[in-house]
Amino acid sequence: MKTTWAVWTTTLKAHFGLSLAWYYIRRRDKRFLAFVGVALAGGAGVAPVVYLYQRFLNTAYDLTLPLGQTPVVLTMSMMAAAAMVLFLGFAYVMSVFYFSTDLPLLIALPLSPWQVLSAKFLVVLVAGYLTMAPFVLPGFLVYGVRAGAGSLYWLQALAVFLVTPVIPVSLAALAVMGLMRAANLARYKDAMRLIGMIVLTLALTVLFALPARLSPPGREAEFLTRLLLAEDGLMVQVGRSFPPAIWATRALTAPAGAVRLGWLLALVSAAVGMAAIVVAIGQRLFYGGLVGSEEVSAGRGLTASDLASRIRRGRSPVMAIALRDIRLLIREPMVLLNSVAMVFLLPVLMVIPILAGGQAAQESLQAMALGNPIVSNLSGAGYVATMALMATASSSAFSREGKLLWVSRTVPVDPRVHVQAKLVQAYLILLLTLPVLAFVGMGAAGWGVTDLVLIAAVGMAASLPLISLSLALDMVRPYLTWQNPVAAIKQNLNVLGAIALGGGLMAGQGLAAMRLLGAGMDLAQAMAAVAGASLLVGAAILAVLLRGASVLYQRMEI
Amino acid sequence: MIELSGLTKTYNRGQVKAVDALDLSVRAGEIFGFLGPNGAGKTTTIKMMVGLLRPDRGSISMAGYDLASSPLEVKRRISYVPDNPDIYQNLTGIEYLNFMGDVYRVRATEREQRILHLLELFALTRVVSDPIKSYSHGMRHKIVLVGALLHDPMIFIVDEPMVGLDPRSAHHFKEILRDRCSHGRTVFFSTHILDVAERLCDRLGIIHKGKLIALGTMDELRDQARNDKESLEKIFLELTE
Repeated sequence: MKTTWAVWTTTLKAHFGLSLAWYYIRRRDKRFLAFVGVALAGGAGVAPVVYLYQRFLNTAYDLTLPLGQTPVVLTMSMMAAAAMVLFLGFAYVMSVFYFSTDLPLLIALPLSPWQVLSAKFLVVLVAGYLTMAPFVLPGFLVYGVRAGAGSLYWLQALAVFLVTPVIPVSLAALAVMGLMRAANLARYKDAMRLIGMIVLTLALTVLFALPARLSPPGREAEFLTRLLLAEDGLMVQVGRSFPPAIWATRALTAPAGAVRLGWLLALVSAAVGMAAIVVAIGQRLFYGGLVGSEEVSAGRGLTASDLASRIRRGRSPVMAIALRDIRLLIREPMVLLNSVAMVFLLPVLMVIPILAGGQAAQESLQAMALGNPIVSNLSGAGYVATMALMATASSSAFSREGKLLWVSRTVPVDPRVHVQAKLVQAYLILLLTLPVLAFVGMGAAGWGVTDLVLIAAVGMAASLPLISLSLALDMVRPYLTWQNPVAAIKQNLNVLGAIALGGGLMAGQGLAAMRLLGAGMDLAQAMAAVAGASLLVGAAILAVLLRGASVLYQRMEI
Repeated sequence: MIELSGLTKTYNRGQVKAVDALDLSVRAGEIFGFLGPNGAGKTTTIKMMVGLLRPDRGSISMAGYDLASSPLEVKRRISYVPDNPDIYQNLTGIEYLNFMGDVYRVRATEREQRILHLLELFALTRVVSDPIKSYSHGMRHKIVLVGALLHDPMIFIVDEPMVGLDPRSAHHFKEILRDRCSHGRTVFFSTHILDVAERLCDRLGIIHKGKLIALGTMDELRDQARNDKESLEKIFLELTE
């Protein structure tokens, strides 16, 4: 047990940088402020969402009070937390379980697979607590305060909080371990992993969305009456996709103390059982998916003429750097999933609940889009601009180079050319939005080719200030010391900052378009005006960045 | 060809002097060996020379250009191979070499000729279309060497060049270094392999605790160590004690 404890504590300290933070505190090193900055930025980032969320829960409490179904507030918050932990869990489990830099060291040590696996499981679990806190705690608070709950409620709430993420993390771990074991048998391991992750994410969305369909077609009134009159009817309906949320709600709200304790025990037993299954199955699957997972099959070699044909005649440094960056981005499956794949995944993730909502939801969406070109055209351009931020290609452009920045720093290329190349790569990646835009716009909103070209052009123009700002943020303070390429995106404050600032800019663009429309301008003119203004702002940011590029590039030390 | 003057780099707000007022001059056509114990300041010096670290004080001039004021002119004339061959794992060897050819603007005919020759020399032709992540440590080192030699640099700066090279490749590499010097090119390398330094270098510098404590040919170093028959290893141990 002493060994296991040592593996657990060391892994947690190393992963979350606790030892390093403590070292900086003791030495009063200002680099400690980076840890404080991450915490503050994280807090500031989720604060508005938490505020709106608690208002939503308070409203839900008010609405369900006359029905005597207020516990549904807890079920909703638990469902939201479980969904978030599961969604983020897949990528996080894969990254922590299979792509951490400490794995070669841990595998070589005289440790059982379960000792390594449980340490990694703990890391994901702690991350799960951080992920679910903004979703679960407002629910506990709203219900506890409004219902005037006693001290036992708060104690049991703490127990529920500690237990709740174990089940979604276990589900994510089992799914990913199965996927990695299967992918390890395949020849094209990286492609298998990527496809597997996309399939898992889509399957999860369907799983959560389908049971949430409110009513069987044609029997809506009867269904609704039953739902509202039955005791716990809403809670059971909301928690159908994830029954532990119902158990957790009952563990906190059942009338009798013994019953509450019984549900809590059921929840704890389920969590312990799931964790035990992970360890038992992981004992067989984990190393099978891990050992040899980085094997790469070598080619058959080249003839002299083949080789000569592959030696290029030469291309400009801008294109050489942009294409290098794109190649590196798309060939790292986890980075690809967390960045470029968003271009395709996000629209699909948004469409699935609508499809799950039944024919009525689809018809109303189509009617809204077809009947209102303002909505469809602005949404189309907004989608392109949103992806300029969410694909993170620009906000992590310099950070992704990490320790390999030495290559870019030592080649005879002007720092301004590096900036131009990052801009080109961001726009080349943004071109991937066009098929999605064409499919949805021409299919659902009835756009013609001219509409598509104009909307795409407006989206691209609106993206310029967002991309320039993201590049500037990442160039001022690049995160180069990551150990895992996913961290260059996931743990990069520049990405968060770019999304926050860029989101503000986008809101401004949207507001400006609405104001112009309100002032009587027609849609095409308003969009052209916003696109023009965006190009001007973007060019101004870019000009400042290019002017400071030499100094900023000099400051990037590795 | 290389002029370092008063070069200084400190860490921890000036508490640790990694390189302390280093003055050094290396001539054209010379193979210069830069020696020192671990943590003596060799890699820090090299990183400043190639523009990866900014000196706190002092100047670096190479091929007649000042690094601070004309970094691109300097970089066009030098090339650098780090001690750890960390390069793009997800590119193939040929993609990496084409990239280096593009950024150094190597003309098509020269590019093809040099790539074919160097790949053959380092026995990489068969694997050059494979991803670099499938390469062994030594093969990665060799592909970085090929990339660094592609533009025929005037000054070749190499940190620990022999680590990871098999005997045949090490032999070819030494031949390349000698050949470069016979054509007036300059080689500056750091190493812990004193035997190689003794046999290959025209001049040697020994850095210890950030200061250059010895500089000269083998004979001059023997004089400095007041020991006229001993090997470089003995001299090194005596000077860095």
